Amino acid sequence: MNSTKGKAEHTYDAIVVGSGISGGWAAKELCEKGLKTLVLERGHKLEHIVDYKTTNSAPWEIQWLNKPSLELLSQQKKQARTGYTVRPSQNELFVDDIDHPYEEKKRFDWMRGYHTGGRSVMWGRQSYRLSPMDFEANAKEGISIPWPISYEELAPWYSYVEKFAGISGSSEGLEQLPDGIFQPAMALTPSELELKAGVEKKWSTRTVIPSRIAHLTEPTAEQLALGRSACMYRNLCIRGCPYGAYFSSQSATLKAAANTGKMTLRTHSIVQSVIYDDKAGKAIGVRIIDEVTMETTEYFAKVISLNASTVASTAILLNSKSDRYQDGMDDSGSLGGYLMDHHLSVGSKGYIDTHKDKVQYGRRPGGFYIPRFRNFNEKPGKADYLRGFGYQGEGYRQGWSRSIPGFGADFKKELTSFGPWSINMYGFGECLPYENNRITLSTKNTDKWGLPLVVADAEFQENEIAMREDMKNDSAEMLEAMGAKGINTYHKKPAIGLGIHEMGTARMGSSPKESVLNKHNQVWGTPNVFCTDGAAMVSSGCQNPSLTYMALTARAVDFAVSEMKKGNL
Amino acid sequence: MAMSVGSSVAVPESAFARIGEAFNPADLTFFRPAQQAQVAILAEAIIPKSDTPGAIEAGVPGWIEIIVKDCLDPIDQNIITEGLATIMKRCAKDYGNGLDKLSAEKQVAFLTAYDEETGAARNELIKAGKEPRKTFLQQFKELTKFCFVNSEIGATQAFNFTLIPGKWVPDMPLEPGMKAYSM
Repeated sequence: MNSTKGKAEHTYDAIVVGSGISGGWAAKELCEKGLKTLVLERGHKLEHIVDYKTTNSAPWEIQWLNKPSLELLSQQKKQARTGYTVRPSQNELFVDDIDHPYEEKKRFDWMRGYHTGGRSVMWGRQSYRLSPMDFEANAKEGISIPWPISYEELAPWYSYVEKFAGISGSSEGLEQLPDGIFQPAMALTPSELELKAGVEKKWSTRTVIPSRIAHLTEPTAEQLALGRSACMYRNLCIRGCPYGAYFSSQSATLKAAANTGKMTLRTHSIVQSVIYDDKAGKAIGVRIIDEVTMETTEYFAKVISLNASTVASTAILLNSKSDRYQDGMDDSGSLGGYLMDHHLSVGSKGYIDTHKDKVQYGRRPGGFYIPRFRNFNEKPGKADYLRGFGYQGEGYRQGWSRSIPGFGADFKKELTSFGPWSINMYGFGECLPYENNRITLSTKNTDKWGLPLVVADAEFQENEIAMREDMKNDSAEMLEAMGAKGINTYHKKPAIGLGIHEMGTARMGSSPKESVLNKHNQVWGTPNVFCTDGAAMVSSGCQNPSLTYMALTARAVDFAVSEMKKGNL
Repeated sequence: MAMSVGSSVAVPESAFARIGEAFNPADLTFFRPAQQAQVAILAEAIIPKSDTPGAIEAGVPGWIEIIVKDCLDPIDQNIITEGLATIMKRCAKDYGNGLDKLSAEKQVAFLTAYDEETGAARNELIKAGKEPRKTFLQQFKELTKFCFVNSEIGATQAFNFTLIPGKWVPDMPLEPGMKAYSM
């Protein structure tokens, strides 16, 4: 089973575990700096464009007109919890839950995509910087541990990744949502402009801005050279974009990495553990299981970057045992703890009766964003809590899916006409890092590759629940401020994981006594292993986090390569 | 993408098998012929032919059957099959004729009254703290609407279907008679 023959053939300068948002960045940066890099992807090959099977499918070309069948739902019971992932147009991009089980001590909605590019293919694409306030909050409030880096340290790396990825957005000069390098924003619709006017008139502390979203609106020469082009406003993004208009590993980073000739991408490669050499006092490679042949193989490198996704990177660290690390690669006890996600499922919708002589053309992939105001320039309203929330939303002419009474000719006439301008907003709330929100590995149960199952034991706690009253009321009040009608407020019990923004569990910090990673994302005690995905997060902010993973990754690789040159790794 | 790929045996690149043609008449095995006729009559009464095609011309009855067969659970399937028989009997009782034999006005009057009556009964159950499924007619109307909008004929003739808009205009003038978007 265990083959280590041909060690030279299995030796690279660097190994990247995972090909998603952060793994793609690690691959690009390592390759462009001249390192021979092996990228290990646990799932199947998903080639840019040619494997986006449904990208140009009309509804009638898709089974069940794109409704999920009972059979699909039974195969993907957990993936179906979002309500949108398991549709025939895209369900193949999410895992089969029967093949990929995990255990839930408490409900945990773990959405996964096991293929080249990982969830960078299906992500929401909204891209916001964390602010100085977000990096300072833990220290100021005595929550968990402080971030070991400041906003100022990460800011140049945000700029670096934004320029390459391509973020459409507007510069607003907001302290709580720093500007970045933007391509032209996608303009707001009449109902969104009414919201903006109503909100900004009533509250000097609040604003409504276009979404910042990783779509090209004015591609650079570098982006065009990679074969990417401007957004066509199809909003079929989740199926994979044939224009490479949104940022994914396939459209951007993996392509750039491949162009160097330095990258080897191996799919069907499930990393079982990092190999720590007790004599050398560092990691020497990784042990993988071939997803198909089940064969165990080892690959070796000077530097290893874990980018398997928050929970999966932590699972690898937990499963990497040696004399030095008997319970996984951590001395602090924090590995697996402090799992975070944004809490959603609360907001309001309504409509306006004006602007009926106008209609949107095109399907814009984003919408509007309302940056955080609570515990920034406004105190909490209904209850006391720390941190805050932002809103995403959008306003379009209502279409056929609205409720239309009646039958026959009149019903058909109304059905085929535009309804009023809608307006809809939904909150994204920050989640504090709690020690007892934890990922562990099962000591009893394994998957079909013999790997211990991930066990999730986490939930939103008092601070999150307290915040949700304001998330609900503030959304309704802002719709009232614009004069919206038919305001309907919703507040469902939030489920952790459903934000698909898992963060934490291998946090950065200033001391090996309390964190897994140091300020350069190196595993304490094993400086040639880096982890730069969501696992590294020390707090969650309320902003969509992927842009931060990109920036952390580019920064860490830059450091790693400079350390290698100095002979320190 | 030109990438060097490490060795692994060739396998299907996805865990899911290809499912086949989206619409295959051979899949129409759920309803008996008499039920198929009733589905068509009711769907056409909900979305009749006008200056654009109606439900039958758009192939809605076949889509409804495939979706009921594969996407609805047994409880909702039962609501559909029993509801179909019940509504047809009720029409015959109230109007002394089949739904397809009534004038358009009478069809609408019957469906509206039946919808109100069955919807009110459902609301009573909700008031009593129960969680009833949607009524037969509520479900059937939703299915008819969904299948019509997403059928090729419905989407392209009764609606504006644009796969690739190519641009974003937040506030284009709305001309009278413009058809709503199918997606």
